[in-house]
Amino acid sequence: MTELDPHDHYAEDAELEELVAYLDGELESERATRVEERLATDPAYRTRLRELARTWEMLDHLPQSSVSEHFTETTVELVAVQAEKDLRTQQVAVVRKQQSVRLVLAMVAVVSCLAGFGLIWSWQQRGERRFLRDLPIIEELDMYRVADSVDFLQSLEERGLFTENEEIHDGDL
Amino acid sequence: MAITDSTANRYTALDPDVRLMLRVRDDDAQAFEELVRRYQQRLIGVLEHLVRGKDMAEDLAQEVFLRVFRARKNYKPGAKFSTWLFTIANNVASNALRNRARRKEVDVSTVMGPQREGNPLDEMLAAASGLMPARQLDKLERAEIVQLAVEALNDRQRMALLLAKFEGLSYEEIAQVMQLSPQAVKSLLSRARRNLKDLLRPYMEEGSSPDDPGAA
Repeated sequence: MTELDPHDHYAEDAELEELVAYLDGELESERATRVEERLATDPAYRTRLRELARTWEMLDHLPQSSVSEHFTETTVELVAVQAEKDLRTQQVAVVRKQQSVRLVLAMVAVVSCLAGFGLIWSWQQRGERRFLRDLPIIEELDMYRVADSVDFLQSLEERGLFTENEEIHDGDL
Repeated sequence: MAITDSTANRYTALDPDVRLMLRVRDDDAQAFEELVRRYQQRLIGVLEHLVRGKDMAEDLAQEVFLRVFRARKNYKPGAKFSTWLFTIANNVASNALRNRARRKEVDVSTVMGPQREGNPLDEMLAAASGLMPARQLDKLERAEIVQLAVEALNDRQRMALLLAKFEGLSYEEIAQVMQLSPQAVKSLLSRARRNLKDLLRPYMEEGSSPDDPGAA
């Protein structure tokens, strides 16, 4: 037996597809007419079509399946039970979502309170921080008042007078 | 792809089962029961040939109906109801067959189980050769041979064949169900028909024309 070359296989497949599509009523009218013309003149082509048609008819011998007596009832019940389960799952999901939203809201409220408290505390501390910053000046205020000008005070600082004073103050501490 | 309102309206007008499904969408339990009654036989028929086993076919059919029910709220008719239903059935059956293949279950209760080594067509021919094709076959034998031949096809060929033969779906509809192109369905069906023809040729009834060189 000689082997078919790939072109012959392709032609054979294309011919088979065409015959099957013709049998299935899936060919456009122009191609269906061409098939019918060939069927009228080509006995081998006609035989192939007949074999395919007969094979198709043999499928009618397939055993008919029967449905269990209570299939409809059990299916409807199963679906009803599942639907109820689905509903319960959905309800639980909704409750969980609501709980999550409440938890997030509570956390936002707590964080907001903490942030507000921090801001107020920080604002209140601002006055005290200013007082602490100015404390060295306040402590030496009487001395500064004696001086007539800023230039004089600066010259005292250059001589290290304030540094000595600070050292004295540090020593006191 | 989004389903347009005009498409939905067209299928609603054409297909009474689409209208039933729209009632199911509105939580009409009777409409759902009616759909089950209308389609159970057809669905189980296809599934039984596909998965080879009545119990499994009924379990899968219930799974299909359950999915239909669960999908009801988002249902919008974009095809005939049967096409939509068999698309779900194809997915359910494909998953089941894939899971079964993964578990490597061997069905020892059937004569030619689903898990066969080698080329199923060759094995089918070998098995069939012992059934004396020359004599007249009785109804049961014929049914068994045709069933074995259908089972020897691969899953996709079998599905396409069953939808075409018993559901009368067009290539376009089968393509939709199996998520293939119509051209792929055409090839699939022609290969399925050739395989079947090769398997069943020895058992074809007498009566072919004398000039038929391919007749048994």
